[in-house]
Amino acid sequence: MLQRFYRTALIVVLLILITGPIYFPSFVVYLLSYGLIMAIAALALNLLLGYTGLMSFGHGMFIGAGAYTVALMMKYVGIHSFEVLLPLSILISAGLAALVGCFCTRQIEIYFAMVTLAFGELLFVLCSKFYGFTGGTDGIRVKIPTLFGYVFKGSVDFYYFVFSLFLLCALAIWVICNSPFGKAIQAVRDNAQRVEYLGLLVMKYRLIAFIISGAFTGIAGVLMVSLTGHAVPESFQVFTSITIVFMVLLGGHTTFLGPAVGAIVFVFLQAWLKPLFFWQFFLGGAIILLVVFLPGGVLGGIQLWAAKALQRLRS
Amino acid sequence: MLELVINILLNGIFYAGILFLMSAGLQIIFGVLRIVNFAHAGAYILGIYFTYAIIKALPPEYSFLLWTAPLISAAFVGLLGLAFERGLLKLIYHRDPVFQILVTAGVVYMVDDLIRFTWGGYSIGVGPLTSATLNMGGVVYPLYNLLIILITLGVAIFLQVLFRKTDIGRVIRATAHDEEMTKAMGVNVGMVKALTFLFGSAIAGLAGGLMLPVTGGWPGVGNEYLILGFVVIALAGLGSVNGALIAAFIIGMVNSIGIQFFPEIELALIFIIMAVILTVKPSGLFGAQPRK
Repeated sequence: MLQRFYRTALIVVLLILITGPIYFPSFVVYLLSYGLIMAIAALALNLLLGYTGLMSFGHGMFIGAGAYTVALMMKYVGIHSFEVLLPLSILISAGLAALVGCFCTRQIEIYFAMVTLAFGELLFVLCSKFYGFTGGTDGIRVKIPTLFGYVFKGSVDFYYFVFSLFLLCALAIWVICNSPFGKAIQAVRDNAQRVEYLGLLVMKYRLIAFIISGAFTGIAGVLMVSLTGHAVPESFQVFTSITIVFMVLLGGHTTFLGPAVGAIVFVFLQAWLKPLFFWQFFLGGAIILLVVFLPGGVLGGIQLWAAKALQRLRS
Repeated sequence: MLELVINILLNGIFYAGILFLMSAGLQIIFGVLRIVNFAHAGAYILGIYFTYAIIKALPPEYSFLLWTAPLISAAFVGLLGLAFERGLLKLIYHRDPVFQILVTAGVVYMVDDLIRFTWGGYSIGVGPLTSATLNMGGVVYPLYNLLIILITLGVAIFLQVLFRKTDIGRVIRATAHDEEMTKAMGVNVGMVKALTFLFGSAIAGLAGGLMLPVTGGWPGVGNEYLILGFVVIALAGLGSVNGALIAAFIIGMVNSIGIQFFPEIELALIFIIMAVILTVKPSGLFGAQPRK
């Protein structure tokens, strides 16, 4: 019964997302694209946070890596197509993750969080200091890339591109989480010592999870810069990273789709709050309220509510 | 050549002093509460703006009281920290670290926006409290910076005495070592935590107040020092106050040398040094081996 409720809800949401551009105004379509892009990043982070039990406060660096891959390639090499830029940014983000991961995965818990945070900040500093190469704090303007020669004309066809990539990434992450590798990283999260006794290299699993997570977040970075048209060093910074962590927890990090829900809810919340003058104040307040009153996130709350409603129906 | 060396040394120690004030509070709070306190950025920036408000509000005939402004604002910041710990942090001690970090970070967002609301989004500053300089071996150095170095030393010694010689300090150390056991001995652990948070926040507030005449303040300034504080405590190993003193000295010197010779990448240099040391010794210079 509960399963059927979830399945119906999922199908309804997917139908709304597919048919959305027909009846939503273009601003909402833009926000939906933005939300789906962040959803990719949030799902990728949850592979680390929820499944491996490592909290990264430096995932902004992969958003930045993806964004600057596009921007620098356009500026210096003149590549304008997604079919080159996407694999390239995946490679670069994965390489960055491997490099940073070599330092970070030796740490756990809070140590891991702080070291990833410091690396994100390092990239931010480098990016804003080398004005000649990266445009410094001004960032780089980016034109939206083409896909196999197809030029995106409006927000709608780009939305469908984002949506299909989101589905692809979500599916890929789902497959990874449910593969033997996925089981192994969950075992690492639950009891690293026992996994070690079983003869698996804990650090290797943490590192691979970090690399996969970074690569998917890099895809989100590419799409993000294509949507906003501007690569800025702030995307490396801790504010971006904390935002992604918040999205994950807002949706609920104990469920697979929770982070995606959290990302979309966050983007709409932000768009609604931003016209207020002090939106950061309300954002901070929202974070605190969420943590104190809704520990399972939005999806966790819905699950709880659905289970309770079902019980009431039965009795 | 000698002048250059002395100058680099003094600048390094000065910077190290501020970093130590920032990270000492972080270390004490982590030791007792087991929380990495992002809200420390809020304490720092509130220290700056409270000091600014006091200095602006002081009538000219009482200008000799200017010197007490950082202390008074540190006390205010400490009390605010106490309210925050009792009102909010207390609720989430048993939760995952990621939730704790998120709550303390959320408070920083709120504080930053409140400051924007009260004092505006532009940067503020006051004139130097004293423009006197000291001539040391041909190096002319501002007296105020030397005073900050002395105050830092004072705080370091005060913390040493507090932790080694007084009952409060012993209880704090005991709580950091084994909370359950301390509770069983009849110590009010909740109050120890509250006091620790008060102390830690007050030190960060003092650091902010002292830095106001040097750097001024703007919304978000706390975050920059917070991240440097994180680098220091990651280097030192979490929870070790003496380690923080040495790590702060290392980072301060690296920064000072970096500014002199590689001004483009001075900040990057700090992070690189941190990465190198953490590769050699993952638990930090003075940290216990982290639990696997």
